[in-house]
Amino acid sequence: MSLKSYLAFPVAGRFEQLMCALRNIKDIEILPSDQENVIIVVSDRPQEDLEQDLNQVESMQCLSLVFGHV
Amino acid sequence: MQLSRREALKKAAVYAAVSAASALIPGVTFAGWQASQANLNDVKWKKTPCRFCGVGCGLLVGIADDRAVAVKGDPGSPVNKGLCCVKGYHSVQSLYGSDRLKKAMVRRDGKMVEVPIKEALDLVAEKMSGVIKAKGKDAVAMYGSGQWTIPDGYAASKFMKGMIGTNNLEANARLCMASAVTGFLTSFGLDEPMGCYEDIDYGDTFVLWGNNMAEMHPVLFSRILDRKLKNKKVRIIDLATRTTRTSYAADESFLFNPQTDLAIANAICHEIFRLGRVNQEFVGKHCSLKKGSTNIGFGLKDGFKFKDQGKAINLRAFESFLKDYSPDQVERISGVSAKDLKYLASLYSDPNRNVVSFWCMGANQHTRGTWMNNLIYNIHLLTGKISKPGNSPFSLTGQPSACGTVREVGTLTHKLPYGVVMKEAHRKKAASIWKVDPQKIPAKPTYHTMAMFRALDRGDINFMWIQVTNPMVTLPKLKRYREGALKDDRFIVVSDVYPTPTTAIADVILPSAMWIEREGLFGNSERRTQHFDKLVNPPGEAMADSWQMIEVAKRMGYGKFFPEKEEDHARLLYEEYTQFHDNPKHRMAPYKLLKERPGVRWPFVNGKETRWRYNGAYDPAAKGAFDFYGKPDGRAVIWQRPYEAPPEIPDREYPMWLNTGRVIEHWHSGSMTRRVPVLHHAMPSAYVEINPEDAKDLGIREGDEVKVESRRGSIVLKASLLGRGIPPRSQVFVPFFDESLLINELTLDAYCPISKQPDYKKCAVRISKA
Repeated sequence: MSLKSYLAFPVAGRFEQLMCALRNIKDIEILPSDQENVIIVVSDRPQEDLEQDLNQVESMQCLSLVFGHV
Repeated sequence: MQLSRREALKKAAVYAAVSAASALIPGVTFAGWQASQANLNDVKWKKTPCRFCGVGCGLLVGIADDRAVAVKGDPGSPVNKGLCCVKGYHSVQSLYGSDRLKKAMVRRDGKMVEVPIKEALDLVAEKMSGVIKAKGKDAVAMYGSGQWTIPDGYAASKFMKGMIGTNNLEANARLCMASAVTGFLTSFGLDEPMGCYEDIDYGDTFVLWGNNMAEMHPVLFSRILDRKLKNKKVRIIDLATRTTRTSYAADESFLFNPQTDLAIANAICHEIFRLGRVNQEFVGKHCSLKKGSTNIGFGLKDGFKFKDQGKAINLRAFESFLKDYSPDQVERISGVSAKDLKYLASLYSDPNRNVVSFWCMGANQHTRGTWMNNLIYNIHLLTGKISKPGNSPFSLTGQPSACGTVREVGTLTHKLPYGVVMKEAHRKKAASIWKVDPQKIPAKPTYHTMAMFRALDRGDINFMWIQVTNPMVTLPKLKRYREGALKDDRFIVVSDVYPTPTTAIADVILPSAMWIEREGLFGNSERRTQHFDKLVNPPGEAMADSWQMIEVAKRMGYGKFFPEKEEDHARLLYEEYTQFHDNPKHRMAPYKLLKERPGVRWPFVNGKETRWRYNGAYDPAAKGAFDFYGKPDGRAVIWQRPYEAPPEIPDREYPMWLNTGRVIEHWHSGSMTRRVPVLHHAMPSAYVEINPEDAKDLGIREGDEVKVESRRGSIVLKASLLGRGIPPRSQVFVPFFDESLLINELTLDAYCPISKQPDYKKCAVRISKA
């Protein structure tokens, strides 16, 4: 079982675009912060496959792996 | 409510992300997640210190259904203030590796077979008693660890020294902290730092002596970086033998030739005199000066003995000695420019700067480790920058209770929980608390760690019980000690949580309860004692190390000395132990308070922790402005110590230096962190760092297999040319966490003659494309 969590940070001023883009990626759950520009991403997809999708999101400035269980 | 494994992991993943976000962005909230937690209400958060390094971060572990499912930094802990490193965040996963030892095993006809733990404990007691009867009490030994809890170490000391009557008790902290101990004792008469982590909040100059803090003490390093962000005056100086992540974050990085840190420290003192910046009033009132023995050897042969002789000198004689260490002269041997040495000295001697020096294995794992510790103290004593907020020479530790257990309880051959075995008064005190005949405790130390494993090889020791450590990965010149342990007529007991190269040499394996599977206490680098409850049940028949010892002691007829029950023995042993330190110089906090707080620093006097020892403004035991009360005259000692070359230096046959160490992902020998999938996948195997220019000359490319050879052995590793660490030309670095690539087959078992701590940072090797 593969489970990972990330912190995703948007390009300045593009939080909503980042939310939209993440919603369109399959098999991930997202938890937006209430007041800050950071989104938690949780998924059990294989890491390379998942990160390939995430790295194509143009509105994302930074993606940090926080937790991983492979 | 029963959580599935996937749900538990998902919960842990989200908790970790929320915790990380909270550490990065104070006040951040995630309403969606928090609402879902309110409904679940199934996770109980409990405090504990982290299982891994000596920083002693406070954690909150989420427990659900007798399982640790999540970790977050404890915002109430003054150590880490809610932050964790990658090992801390994943720490609870190390409890649940698939090959966890759950049953005892004994060797029968050459094969390990599972037996009930009671049967294994019977066998341990029978073998130990048999060896004592046949060959005497000094033919049995125990080898423990700075990962022992305080009750574990205390039970070991009481059992071995008070019941069995042998000083054959050592711990792996001999391999990592012994030079720090002898440095403190020779300079101040008492062990452990005078300052505390709050020095980071007051310091503006941080000099890191051979200390890759960014990887080895990442949370403390984060505190330094945070301090720098808030104060433009802050300077971080990395003084090292290779470029690391610490170097990149520092304001300046000065690379020196191995062993020449001794000369650099003396060059700084030379400049302090030349600039007229000696704090004459402080030195005159609070210091004495001594000259130690020189050409003191390296302990390479069995039976090596050395005793340092300190002769009093005056300040003028010391200044004269330093004339050989002008920046120009030291530039020639160290490789650090005279200009940079002068800059370093200017930082230390600037009356408007507060300076904290940090060091760990670079200065300690050194054939002149005691000297190196003395020399850093010399700089702080000459300038009077010591025992004051932000002015502190600060020796860091590598293990969670190297200080609390090995150094304070005293699980070393010469030590007792209070004082040393050589002093009758200290033996009498121990005997009185333990309720044994004082004659039972021998007055002479026996074997330090290297001598103990040499005695096992020779057959002078026939029984050894190893707990919470993995010497078949971590001892230098490994082949000799592994083959010694495997000889006929040796009986090895290993208590551990996973199979390791050390359990592979065992005749009996005892499954241990790990960390929060039992109650315990650790003591960190800043004298902070931290308690943790038993939060989950251990698997199978796994048992606390301390209780294993008590079970064996009972079987050997010492039951009346250990009247505790399994459920309360940690508390009762701790309370008995605190009787040894019932004085204002080392009073421990009461058990009840430790249960409530995220740690308390000793000396704990009149309901208050002591933050800066020896300073009358903070330390109730100090008389006057400063009082180095560990010494009879109240004066700290400035030691005259020269530069001396190491025993093995590169030559035509073996032209490169080998340096060994750790990586951020793995704890020491990797037996726990390699069971955490994300850590293992992030750093799956050891490698050899090679300077790109050397690699080019040898036709080696990134990832090529490279043979690394010393006079003692060879291994093949993949090359890392532009990784996280880059050594200078003619040096290579290999981490030691990988049990399938044992770099300690190559290292040398030379040690500091005063501390007996081996040097893992320097020996000669050659490399070639495999």
